[in-house]
Amino acid sequence: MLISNEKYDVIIIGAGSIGLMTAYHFLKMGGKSVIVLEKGYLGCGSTGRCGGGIREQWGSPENIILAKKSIDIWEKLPKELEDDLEFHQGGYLILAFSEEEAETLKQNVHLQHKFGINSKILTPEEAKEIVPILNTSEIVLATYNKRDAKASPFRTLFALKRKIEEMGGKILTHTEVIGFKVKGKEVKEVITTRGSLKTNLVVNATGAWSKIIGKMLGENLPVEPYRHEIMVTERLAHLFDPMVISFSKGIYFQQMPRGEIIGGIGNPEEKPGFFIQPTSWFPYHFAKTLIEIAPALRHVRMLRHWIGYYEVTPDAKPIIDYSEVINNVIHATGFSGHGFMVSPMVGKIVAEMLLGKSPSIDIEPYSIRRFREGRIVRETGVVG
Amino acid sequence: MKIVCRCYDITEEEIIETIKKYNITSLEELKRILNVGMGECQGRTCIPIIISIMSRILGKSPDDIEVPKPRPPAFTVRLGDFIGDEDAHK
Repeated sequence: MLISNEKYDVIIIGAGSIGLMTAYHFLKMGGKSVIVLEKGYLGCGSTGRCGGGIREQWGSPENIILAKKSIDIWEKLPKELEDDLEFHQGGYLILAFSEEEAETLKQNVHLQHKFGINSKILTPEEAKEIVPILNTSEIVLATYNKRDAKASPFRTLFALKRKIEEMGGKILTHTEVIGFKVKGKEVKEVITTRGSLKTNLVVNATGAWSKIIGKMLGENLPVEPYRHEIMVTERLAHLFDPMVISFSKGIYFQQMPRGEIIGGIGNPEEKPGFFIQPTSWFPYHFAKTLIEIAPALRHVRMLRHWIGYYEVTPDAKPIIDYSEVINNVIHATGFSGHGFMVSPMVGKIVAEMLLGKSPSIDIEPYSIRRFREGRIVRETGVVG
Repeated sequence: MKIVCRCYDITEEEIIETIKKYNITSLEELKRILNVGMGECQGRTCIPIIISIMSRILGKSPDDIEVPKPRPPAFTVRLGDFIGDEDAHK
């Protein structure tokens, strides 16, 4: 099917959580004409490969604000979308394995309290009450926030799709953007593998691929794709409720509603690039670290192991900003592995920008300019 | 009631209902909503049957239905076995 001569107020490139949340909020706020373009099937990018964790326990104001306001929206979203997103507030338990790490986590909790987040510092024994399979012998302390949550990335995408189409928006899968027709400093047409579309505004919500879209526009976005690996086990009886993470070990794991354990570990040696193959490094290091933390899981069978990308910026914080070279393009990218959890608020902010409203939070900290001006304070709370 | 996915007990009715509810056009998408093909059998049992159902519902040739990519490990492996932990089988 070829497309031609259609015109939209807004074209969103990328039907992941950021793109679809933007389209949803745009329509909800009264926007009329929007189409989302997706190069593959729905969920083929990073959203469809992620662990589904949602937390406000962050180490920087930028991420805390986005996450807190996103959870406000997440709490209402299943009702708004009239669908089961498997959203569940079972908390996040963050483990510290050294005095130094304990100090960082304490500072994070202190910062979180300033933003009204009810995170708590727990003793290893208190942590074990929440997650009984923990081996506490190496744990110094833990932090816990019951409001942190999880949701199904797939169910969220498909519920959004259904709602967007109901509200008159369009989603076109298997349609890849291959160029732009630019006049002056404005995109006039988006050229795809299935024809061209006219537009007034463009959103680049292509995550790991956003640098490629940037290049087509003559802009060099400081966003690099990094392969991250993740696995799922067979189903087990209910063992624990929260997502368990450790920054020093780079591991995260949680139990899904059907009983599977899903989790990943970051490889510090990983180089940027589009590497699609899972490695043999991952199962060994994941199993070793997981068994140290929760020895009983040595008996559990791994079912599947796959990869996804984190689109990483130099400070591991997002970019939500107008393009610096093209007037009618907005970039919403660089979520550095945590786009799904903050997508509700990001979608709302970008929709406000599209409708010419002033964004409901100050977007200056998410500017592209900060990298050029050297205003970079790295987020310490990245995992996986 | 016909069970198609034996790992997650997904029936033919559920598959047809889901395809219609979300306007699904590819098996990769159906897999992500219903978990079909992601259980212990890794799709060995259900995928050919689902391709036939999808082909019928969507009016597409079975050749035009994307087959989901297999994921390692090919068969389930105990986590302890990845690190040579002999206690894994106790």
